Order: sequence, then C-alpha cells, then structure tokens
Amino acid sequence: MEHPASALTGIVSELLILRLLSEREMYGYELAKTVLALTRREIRLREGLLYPLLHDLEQRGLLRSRREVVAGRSRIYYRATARGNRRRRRLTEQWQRARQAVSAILEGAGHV
Amino acid sequence: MSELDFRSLGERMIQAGVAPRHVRRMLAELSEHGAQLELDARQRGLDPVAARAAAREVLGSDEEILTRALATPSLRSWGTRWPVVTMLLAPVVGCCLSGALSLALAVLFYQVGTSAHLAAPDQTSPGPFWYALTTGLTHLAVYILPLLWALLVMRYAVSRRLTATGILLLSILVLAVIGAVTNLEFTWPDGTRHQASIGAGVGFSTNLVWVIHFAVRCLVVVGPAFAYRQWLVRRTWHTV
Repeated sequence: MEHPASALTGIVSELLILRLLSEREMYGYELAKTVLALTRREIRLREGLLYPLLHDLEQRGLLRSRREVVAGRSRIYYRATARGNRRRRRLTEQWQRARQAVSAILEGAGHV
Repeated sequence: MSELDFRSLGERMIQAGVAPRHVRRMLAELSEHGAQLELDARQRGLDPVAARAAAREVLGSDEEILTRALATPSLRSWGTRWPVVTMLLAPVVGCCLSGALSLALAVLFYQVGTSAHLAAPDQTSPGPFWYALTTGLTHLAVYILPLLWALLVMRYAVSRRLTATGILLLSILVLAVIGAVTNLEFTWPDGTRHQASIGAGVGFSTNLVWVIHFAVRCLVVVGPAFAYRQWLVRRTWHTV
C-alpha cells in the first residue's frame, strides 16, 4: 500500500501541474521553474520525477502534448485537457476541504 | 549540449517493463531538461563538472526516477501487463486473419483476372500475371505469413526485453504448426475444368514423408525466428 504521505504528495503534484497547465502550455523544465517561483522555492520537486507523472496524466487523458523543435532540440509541451480541468476542479475542492479540516484541528487544538 | 547520460536508466526502465515509447520520450525530456539545468549552473559560475553534478542532483537519481516510473501502472508496456495476449493470442489470431485476408485477395484477383479475360475474348486465358498473383497469395498465406508473424513476435519481445521464454517458445511453435498443417490450394480452370476452386484445410498424417515435410516446414519458421532473435539481441540490447 502506498504511504499516506507519498499519496498526498502525488495528489498535490497532480493538482499543481493541472493548475499550471490549465493556464498555458509548458514543457517540463519551464513547469519545474514555475512551481519553484510561485511557491517561493518552498516546494522543490526532484525535477526528473515530473516526467513519469506528466506521461501518466497524458495517458489518463488529463493532459495533451505536442512536440516542437527549438534550437535543434525536441521539446514537448503539455496542456490540460477539458477532462484535466474537471479533475483539477474536483481536486481543488478536495484540497480545500482537507485544508480547512486540518486548520480547524490545528487552530482549535489548544481549546479542547 | 547536455553531457548527462540516461542510457543506463532507459535500459533499466525497459527491462522493468516500462513501454519503450514512454522511455524514449522520457529520456529525450530528461536530456533536454538536464541541458538547461547545466546551462543555469554554468551561468551561476560553476565549472562544467560541477554544473553537470548540480543538474543531476536537481533531476534526481536513476533510482528515484525508475521507482517513480514503476509506480505508475499506465506506463507499463502491454507485453509486461498481458504477455499471453500480446505474445501468443494476438499473433496466432493475426496469422489466421491475415491468411484469410490473403485468400480473399486471391479470390478477388481471380475475379478481376477473369473479367479482364472476358473483356478481351481473343485471349485464351486470363494470363500468367493473374495466375501468378493468386498462386502467390495462397503460398504467402501458408509459407510466408507464419514466418512473418514469428519474426514480429521476436522483434516485439526483444524490444521490450520480455523474458517470458515459455510463452515466447509456445507462440513460435504454434505459428510454425499452423503453417505446417494448413493446406491452401487455388486451382484455375483449364481444359477439363470450367470453374476455379479453392481448397483449404488442416491435415495431419502419420506417413513418414508427411512427418518429414511437417518438420521441415516447422523448422523454416522456428529456425529463422530464433536466428533473428539472436541478431536483434546482439544489435539492440544496449540501445533504446
């Protein structure tokens, strides 16, 4: 069975990727740098681990990709599909409910 | 250009059952990503060796990337997930269907040849071209298609580093036997016969000549298939 912490990390990674790729298409390096910049370097992924996740999301129909040759190198751009956007909205709701639940415990723990 | 080498990671991924198309693309993406990370590190003032090490650190180790890829079931190759279907059932069904298709084409070409003959009554027969075409298609179905399918199975198994030797051997043997016991015959009309006929069947015999013929026809499939496998293994084992 997957460890709860790694399952949580997986869901967060999926949510972040779907959120960023719903706005515009990006390639792996660009995506990793955007996560770093937007989270003020608080979330630092092993950047090579992005690719199995991106391929998985594409296999599940949540992302689509296109190849472009830039300066003689092949680069693969990803973008969220309509299905990916629906999944992102569901994950966002789940994440917000979970965050509220955890906050309620953390903030109320001293008053029990 | 990146100096990072992911070939060993690619080989490990394929051996572990990740589909080659995902592996090829992932290696290209990692290489591109690594090159940009190296460039970033050089711009921060690191020397080439330190820049390469820093890029590798940010990307993660082979072990970490492999573990993540293996934890993702959708990236596994069909051959790993369903070896019996991909290496045994699909080729056997494919061989039978392609044989039926070539026989159907033989009938079609017979009709075309006959129509061409009727349109030109000065000709005494539809001609050697149509005869060769229909005869060739029936021979293709019996002698060539089982071999082609066996070669295809070998290519598939080697490209995915599949090690299910029992299934692979069974698949090649079944294809060889299908070719060896199937009889197809397309007979054109001649002076004594006014209509063409197709004969199709499966035959077994204990007659020594038949047994030798059967063994030779099996070997014609099994021998080249395993020779091709050896050639593929030597040529591609260390490439992705």
